[in-house]
Amino acid sequence: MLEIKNLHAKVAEEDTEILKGLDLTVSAGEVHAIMGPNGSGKSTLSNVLAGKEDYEVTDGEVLYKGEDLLELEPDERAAAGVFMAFQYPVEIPGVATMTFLKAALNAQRKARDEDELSTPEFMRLVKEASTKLNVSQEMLRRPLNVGFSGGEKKRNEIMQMALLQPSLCILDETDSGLDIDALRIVADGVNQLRGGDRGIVVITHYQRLLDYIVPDVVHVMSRGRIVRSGGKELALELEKSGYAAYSEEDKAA
Amino acid sequence: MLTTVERVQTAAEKALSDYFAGTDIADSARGAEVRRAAMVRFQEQGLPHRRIEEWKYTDLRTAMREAPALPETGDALAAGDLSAYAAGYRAVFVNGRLDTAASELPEAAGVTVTSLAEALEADAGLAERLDGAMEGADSPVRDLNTAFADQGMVIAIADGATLDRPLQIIHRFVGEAPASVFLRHALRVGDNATATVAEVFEGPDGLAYHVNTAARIDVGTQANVTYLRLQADGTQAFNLATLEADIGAGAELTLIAASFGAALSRVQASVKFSGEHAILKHGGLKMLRGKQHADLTMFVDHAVPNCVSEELEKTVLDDAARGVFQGKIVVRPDAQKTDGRMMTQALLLSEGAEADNKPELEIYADDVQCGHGATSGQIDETLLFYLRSRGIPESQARSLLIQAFAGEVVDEIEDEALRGIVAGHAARWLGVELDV
Repeated sequence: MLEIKNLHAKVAEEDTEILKGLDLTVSAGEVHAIMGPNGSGKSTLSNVLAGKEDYEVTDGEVLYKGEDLLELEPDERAAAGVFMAFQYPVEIPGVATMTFLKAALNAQRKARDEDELSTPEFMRLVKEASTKLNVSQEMLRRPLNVGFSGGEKKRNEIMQMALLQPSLCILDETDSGLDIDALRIVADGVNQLRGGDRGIVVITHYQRLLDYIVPDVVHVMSRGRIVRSGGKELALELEKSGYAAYSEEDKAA
Repeated sequence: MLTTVERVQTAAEKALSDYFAGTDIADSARGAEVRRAAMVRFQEQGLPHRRIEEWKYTDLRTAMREAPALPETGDALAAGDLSAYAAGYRAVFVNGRLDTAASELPEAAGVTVTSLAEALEADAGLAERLDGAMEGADSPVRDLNTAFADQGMVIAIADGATLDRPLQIIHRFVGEAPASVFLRHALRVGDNATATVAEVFEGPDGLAYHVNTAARIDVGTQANVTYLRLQADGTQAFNLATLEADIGAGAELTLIAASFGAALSRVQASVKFSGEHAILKHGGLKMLRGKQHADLTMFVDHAVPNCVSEELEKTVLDDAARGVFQGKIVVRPDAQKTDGRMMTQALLLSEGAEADNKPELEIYADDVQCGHGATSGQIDETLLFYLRSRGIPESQARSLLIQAFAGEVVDEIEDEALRGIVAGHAARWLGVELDV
């Protein structure tokens, strides 16, 4: 599904490398968690995967379903089935949520040579996805994310994910700013998308989210690389001992 | 002091003087004296130029090299297809002349729509309202209108009456010969009355015709009026307009000015509050490309206490287009509890585009809330990236964001059909299909 090999990346026009030889393989149907302290490069990894232009890949490769992901424009990545749930979803005044959802869904379908959805069919899919994520009709009537609370924005992200049915989901700090109820709703939404051929990467600082979205594999990221991988118990271990050991270990190495 | 140096007339100024000299004004509805005096004022000042502060960004003397002749007086020209307009009432002016066959004027109780000549005869007060310029509206362009405009629509809504559907005043230019068209309109809405009036301008691309209109709007006590101006003239046209509005106590006036067309256009608007607890909402939208130039200059006079004015001006500029917004709010010494807000935002889509924003506040009262803001910028890359990350291709994402930017003004148009027409122009400008 996703193969990252020796990935080196930095912020464009800056010298300091943030990702320094990252390797990661996610197979179809698996849920991977990437944990790490602030500054370990988690955000850079998600931005590079989404195709943000402010980042520059200096070495290595990213294969998605065997194809070079880095060659694709952000919209092409989305149409190919890559979805990024952002840490800070933006507010877009003047763009109605429904207009946006329809444009996104139909643009992806068009890119895949599929027919555009009829309005009733589209409405049915939105209703299905929004009910699951507790996104109200009132929220759907507002401009995209405008006036939404932090929790509402995150629910809206996962609702989009449920609607667009991507093959690879990347959740960037989706738990940040969520209270326990919102966390549960979001986790339920993600869990419903688990399985089949879908790969899910959960990037998080805290173990809390992983109580609800139980990962198959946990990776520890430090200083721009994956420094340790293990089962779900690794997350619990980190919760107890913190990240200090990895920073030290990495420093010594 | 008298000037000792004779001002040199430009070709356009001389042509306008000649046209006036060749016009028979003896039986004029406006009165020969009024027209002659206006022409003299114009000749003294000439076309306004950049050394006059209010015309700093729109140097009409330089831009207006020629003044096309007055329209031929002969058989009336056919209006042609009007299906793009909302069903309902319309007064259709073809090259400055009312096309009665194409028009559909309201005949409801309390609603009177007449020609300028008829109205001047019936209403002795009208001449007075039309003759003197309101502060902030006076200009040589208005003088030219007074000198030449002998026709127009006068709409009167009686106290308590409602114009049940919007009235569209359609200014259409047809044919292959350019001409200078002058029209004077007036709208008087009585106490507790309601009306929506839309002025629409259009004509062929590539033809340098000139349109100069002036409109006087009187909004009665507790009345509710929407006045829309949709300027979609041809690419080489000149569109010069003067708008004067007086708002009575407790009334609400919504002014919308959308400009898509013309090589050069300017709306000079002056709005005065003459009764307390009244509201003015202005929404301006300009979408320009090529070397188009559009100017909206507005003067809001808070002459009495407790009134609210809100102006939102949005400008989208591509290529080497230039958008000008000059907004001035004056709060007179007695106008306590004034709430005056002005926001102007420009979206620049190219390096060569230029937005000139000049908001001004002049406040003489001490218990008021007034503010203004001006921004100019490019499309927000963060928003663009978000849309693209959901699969929307870049060009479509850009269009969505521009539509959203313009939409804030378009959405202020309450009437659905009129809103659809303006939204349609915005979509056409972007080259996209409207997703209704």
